[in-house]
Amino acid sequence: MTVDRMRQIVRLRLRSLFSGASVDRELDDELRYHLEQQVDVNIARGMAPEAARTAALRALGGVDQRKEECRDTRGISIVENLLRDLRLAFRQLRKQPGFTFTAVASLALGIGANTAIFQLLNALSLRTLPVRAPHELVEMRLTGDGRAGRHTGRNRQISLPQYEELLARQQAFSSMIAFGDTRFNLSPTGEVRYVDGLWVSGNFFETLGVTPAIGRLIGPADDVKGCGAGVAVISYALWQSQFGGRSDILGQTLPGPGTAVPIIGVTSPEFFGVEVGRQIGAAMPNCASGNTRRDHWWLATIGRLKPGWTRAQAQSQLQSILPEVQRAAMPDFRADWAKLYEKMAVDVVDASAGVSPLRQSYARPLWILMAVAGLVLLIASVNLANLLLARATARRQEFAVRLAIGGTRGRVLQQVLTESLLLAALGSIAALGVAVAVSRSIPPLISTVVDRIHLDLSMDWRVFGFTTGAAIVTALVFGLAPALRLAGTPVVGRERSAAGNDGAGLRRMLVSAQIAITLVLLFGGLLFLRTFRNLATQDIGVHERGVIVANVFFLDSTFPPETRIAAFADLDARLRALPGMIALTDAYTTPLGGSFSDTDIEIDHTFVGNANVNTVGRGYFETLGTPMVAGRDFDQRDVPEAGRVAIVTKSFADAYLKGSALGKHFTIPDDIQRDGGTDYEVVGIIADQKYLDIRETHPKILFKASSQEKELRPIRRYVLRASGGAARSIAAITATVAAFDPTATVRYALLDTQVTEAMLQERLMARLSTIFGGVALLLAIVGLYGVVSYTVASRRAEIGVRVALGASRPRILTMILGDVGRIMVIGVIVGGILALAAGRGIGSLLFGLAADDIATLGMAAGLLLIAGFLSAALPARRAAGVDPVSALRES
Amino acid sequence: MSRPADLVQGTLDLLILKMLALEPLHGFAISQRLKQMSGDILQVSDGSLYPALHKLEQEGWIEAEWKPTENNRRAKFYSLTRSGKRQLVKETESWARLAGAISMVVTLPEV
Repeated sequence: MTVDRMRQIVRLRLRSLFSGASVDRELDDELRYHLEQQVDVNIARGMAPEAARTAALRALGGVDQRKEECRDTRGISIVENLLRDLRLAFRQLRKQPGFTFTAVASLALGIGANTAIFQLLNALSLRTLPVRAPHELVEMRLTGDGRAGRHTGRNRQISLPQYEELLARQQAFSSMIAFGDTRFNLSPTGEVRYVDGLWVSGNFFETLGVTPAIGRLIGPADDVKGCGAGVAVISYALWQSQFGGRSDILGQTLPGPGTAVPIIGVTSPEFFGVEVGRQIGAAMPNCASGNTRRDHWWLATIGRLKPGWTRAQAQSQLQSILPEVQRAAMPDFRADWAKLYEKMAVDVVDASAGVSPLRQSYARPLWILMAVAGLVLLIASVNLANLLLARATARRQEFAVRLAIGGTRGRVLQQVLTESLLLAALGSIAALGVAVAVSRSIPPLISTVVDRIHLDLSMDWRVFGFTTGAAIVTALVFGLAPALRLAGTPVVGRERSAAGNDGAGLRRMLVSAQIAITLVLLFGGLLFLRTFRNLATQDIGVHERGVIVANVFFLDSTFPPETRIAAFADLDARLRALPGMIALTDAYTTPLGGSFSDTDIEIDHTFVGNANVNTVGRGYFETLGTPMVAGRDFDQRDVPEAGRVAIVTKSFADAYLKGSALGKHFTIPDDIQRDGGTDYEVVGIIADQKYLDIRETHPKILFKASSQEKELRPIRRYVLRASGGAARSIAAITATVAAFDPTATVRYALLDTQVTEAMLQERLMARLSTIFGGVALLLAIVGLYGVVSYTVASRRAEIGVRVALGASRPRILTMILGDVGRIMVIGVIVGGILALAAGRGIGSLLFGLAADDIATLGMAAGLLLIAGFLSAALPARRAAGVDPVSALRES
Repeated sequence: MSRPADLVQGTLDLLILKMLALEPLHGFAISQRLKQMSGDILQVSDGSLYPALHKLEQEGWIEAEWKPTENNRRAKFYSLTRSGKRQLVKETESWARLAGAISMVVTLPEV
């Protein structure tokens, strides 16, 4: 075919497609010209004008037929057929609003749920950081034991000295950045107001290729030892929300405790930090953090791979220099620990999507929810397939006629599939709305009072691609079986009796499959629900209701460290005197409060194990309602000068002190602050309480007396109970603290909220998987109801005969329900096997029960069977009530 | 069906292409020409002419242009394209083969 010819063909096809009207008009003109000429010729031959016209028309054989034939010669394009099919499909759907609504709504729910979960996954795991060449970025992680010392931040991997040694020795990266997450307080006095923040190395912005919106960003010159309070860069979001986007922001200072820090610039709008799930408000150089301790683990690193270097090469290079790095960074470390540090394994992972502890904890649950949502969509599709099969049976005659007048089977198939695609398209448009609503509702569910989760959920090509793909696959799944059935319609010989049973076997099989999948989803939903219940009913060892935690920060305070003990005693007394105060004490941390400290325990110079540490004031256990098992609480005897005393949990006593712990001694060998370790005498044993994680069992906690501390931190954490409501207490405390020290700030937490927030992931899984399971159950029941109703309707005559021959009503009822039972039993058996297989994938997310919990499976199956029989009862009763005379007359 | 017996499949196309090879013509002229040339032997109805013309146009073998006629009316004139010329040669050859074969068969001496 020559190019010219091709061009002409394409031009003509496009023309008939897009300007069909003008092509038709041209055809009219052409045929009219022919007629007029012919009439003239006929008249010239001596015919009368009327007769001449009639003869000309007859010769042409009917203008309209000719026009249609001419149209046919050009109407062979696929696109035009498709448009015609679409118009027809629209008409068909408009004629059956009930069917259309059901179909579109169930597709919207199914595809919408999938899109929503995918949106979350996309935001969390797939979308790359908005920085230069994100695919060159990798994160270095260390795995191994023995990271003793101070730990802060969510992404802690190494210390500042380790970073400096790494920087000097690494070869894989063109540059390597280090950063630590933190919070900056924006409120100079009163209750604190935090924004997420970053400590960054001087090469941070340069390496990532982040540009300033105004001013300049932190550079290597800003991150040098002795930089004091340093400088600050704020995010575009903070600039807009806190400073109204004013351009005179440069040179202003960032408010908050500590020395005021000059703002030198604002980052570009799209930059949110390097941690997915967080929107930073400000960044300051590492040198200003004061975190220089060699055993302070707080930094994460990201490197930009040199051209030609692979992740594996980088990993082996870093691994080879690690012992040197550790020796250089931790020169005077205990020999047994130094060995552990040198043995740590380096892992180099892709960081094109940033770092994210949120991703580590939620990616797996989300993939599971994705699978669950996919199965829900599958059930919805099967329902639609069933509906369409029923319709297909009803439309057989229509299609038989089409085939008889010359439609090809291919065209019939195309027409039916077009209808399915149209349904899927309508469904997926509605689904985008559902998805936006669902995905927006998730981040608040997994945010805590302090940690706001920020995910960029905007639609991108991946989300649209996913939705389109889901719609097409769905349309094929539910559209293909009915389409093939219709395309196989015989032109003649459509026997009446067979009509009722058309596709019945296939439809029953589909319902069995639906029931099987529903059982899997119900089982999963119940497992997550029971996990959440198990956690929620966990005894955390305290009565958390009504307990308020007030953190008072004296970071800007003029109290020198040595006066703190007296000053804090004064504040304690003032707070205790507040009206309604029932109990007030202080603590380093509270159960599930997020702070933690742990230490080695030695008895008679032998290492026996680890324990978590909390330092608490007198009355702590009483305030929290933790019972004393033996011994005494801290009291006025426990002063700094006296011998050190400790209270331990029952698990601690059982594990390390063989039960009879009172009066026994142990030492904490590496108490960094003090030399040589300290000897502690156990004076009390309390019932177990949780420390950091609600899933922990047998918590071994050691409580020190805060009254024995020689030096206090500039932070006082009060734990208190008061009458008269939390809001009133909070207002009174804030006022008292302000009167005591105007520069102090306070942050409050409610202990019961803190406990609930320890189960966010489980709550999310329980909630979503139960909702999905419920939707699946609903869909399956609708499907079952449809099939049973249809069967009953098509077997009316047969049932009539049975009744006429003396079958009793219960007998008919049993027959129909027995049929339902067969469908369900097959579904439940297959589903049970699938559920147990699928359960293996979620075992690690469960608590208090195993993934092959037979009782849960039984519950799910029972629920499904009851719901199934109830839904079948209605049509079955209808069958039993068939009047033989009218049934037989109809047939 | 009372339509005149159709020409052998493809023959009408060949005749149209041949006629347009001589000069561009409009539909009515082609119809007149066909009647003159073939007389009563080939019955080409006006009815089958236009679909055939449109088909040839869609195939890219002929192209159309609106031009004034000798008596100053506007009519759609068809002319042969380059690929149409090649098609004409091809169809002529195959017609010749077919005609030759048939005439050979029908003129076989009956023994």
